[in-house]
Amino acid sequence: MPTGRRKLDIRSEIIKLERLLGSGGSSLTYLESVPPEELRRLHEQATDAIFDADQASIQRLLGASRLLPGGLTAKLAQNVFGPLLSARIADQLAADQAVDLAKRLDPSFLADIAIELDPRRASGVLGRMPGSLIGAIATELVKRGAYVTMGRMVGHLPDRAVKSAIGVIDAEALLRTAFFVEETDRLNAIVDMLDDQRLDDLIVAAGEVDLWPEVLDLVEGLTKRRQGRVADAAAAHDDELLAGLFKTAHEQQLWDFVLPLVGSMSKESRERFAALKTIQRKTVLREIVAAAARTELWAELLPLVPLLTPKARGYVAGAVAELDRDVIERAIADTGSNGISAPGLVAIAAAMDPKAQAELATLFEQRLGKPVGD
Amino acid sequence: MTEGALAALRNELGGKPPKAVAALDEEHLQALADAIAKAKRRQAKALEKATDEAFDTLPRLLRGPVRKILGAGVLSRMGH
Repeated sequence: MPTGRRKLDIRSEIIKLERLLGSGGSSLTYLESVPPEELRRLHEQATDAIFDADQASIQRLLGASRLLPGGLTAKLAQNVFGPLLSARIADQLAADQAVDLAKRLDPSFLADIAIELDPRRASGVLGRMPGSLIGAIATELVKRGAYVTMGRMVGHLPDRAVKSAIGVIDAEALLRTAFFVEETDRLNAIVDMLDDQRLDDLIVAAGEVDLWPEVLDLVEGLTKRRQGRVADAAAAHDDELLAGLFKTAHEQQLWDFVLPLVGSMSKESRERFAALKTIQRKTVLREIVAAAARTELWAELLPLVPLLTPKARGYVAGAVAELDRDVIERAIADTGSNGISAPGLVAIAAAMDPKAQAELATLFEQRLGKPVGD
Repeated sequence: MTEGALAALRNELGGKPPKAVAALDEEHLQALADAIAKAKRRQAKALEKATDEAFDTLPRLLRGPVRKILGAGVLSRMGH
């Protein structure tokens, strides 16, 4: 079974497919073995196949609607066409015409249309929608729990529209939406739009409704500086809240998401993190080492090691000693290119038993071409 | 062995599915093909109903030109 980040990406893509296929795709768990990038491709193929199936009828309706004045078309759309037909027509209209029509419709009905849209096809229209209207639609979409719709739209909206939406939705909705955002550069833009208070709201919401996977998924797409902002916001909270994060990471094998957070924390936050009782546990530390080995996140893990208690350092050393030689060699190589990792590796070595120390020293000599003591 | 279900999925998608999807067992390939076919049928039905109702609410003056654009095929299905 896939673990960590791939598992979350797969979950997100399957939910999107289930949304597209409606009740016909209610149980797509058999797709869990498919890589996320292939699931996304499948979603695009299925969307095109479904949306193109009635293209001839839609084109004829579009021709007919051009005979009608805008006011009447809007009235027909809302009272007769319904959201599905309106959505299929909307992505065929010129952007200006579609925006003009949207301004005449209720935000509640526009939200229903948004749920039926393929944002890729309606990108031109979405890019020209007034920010205030996007904010009003976002409010309605949150009421419907339409986070997939909102997430998929983000990549097609300009910053001003995203800002309007962020201004009207709460922290829980924001986290749930971010989980479905496909363009990670947009996640960076979103985090930049949040002041420290709103960032803190995200952490509090994650703790209250157990949305840690959503937080970790969001963090994974951020640059190191922005990861640091989120990490420091989390580290400022009490042990109880952070214990929830570690419980989720432990249960869902998400340590490879947590490690980048640790790596981008300020020194003070990292010290606090290392002092947490949950982190000092043997099973937790073994999983963290396994995640670092699997995803080569040594540069993120090693700065934490010298800050752990001697006993906890012993657990880390024991777990590292059990790794394959080539995995340890890669960790050593990482210390060569990253100055802050070296004390971490030394701390691990110091906590090892003499036999493991000797083996590690040999690997060092082979890798660095000089004895360890020099 | 899975050619039947794979062909059905290929047909519904209008092209080859991604590699790991094509490697699913026959039962799941068929379930996926059926789910896409069902979504298409649901959409066609909804569009036909909406078109039908929209025509009925048009002002009489506009029905002629609209009928012409919609074409005989659509109108006969609509019973107009």
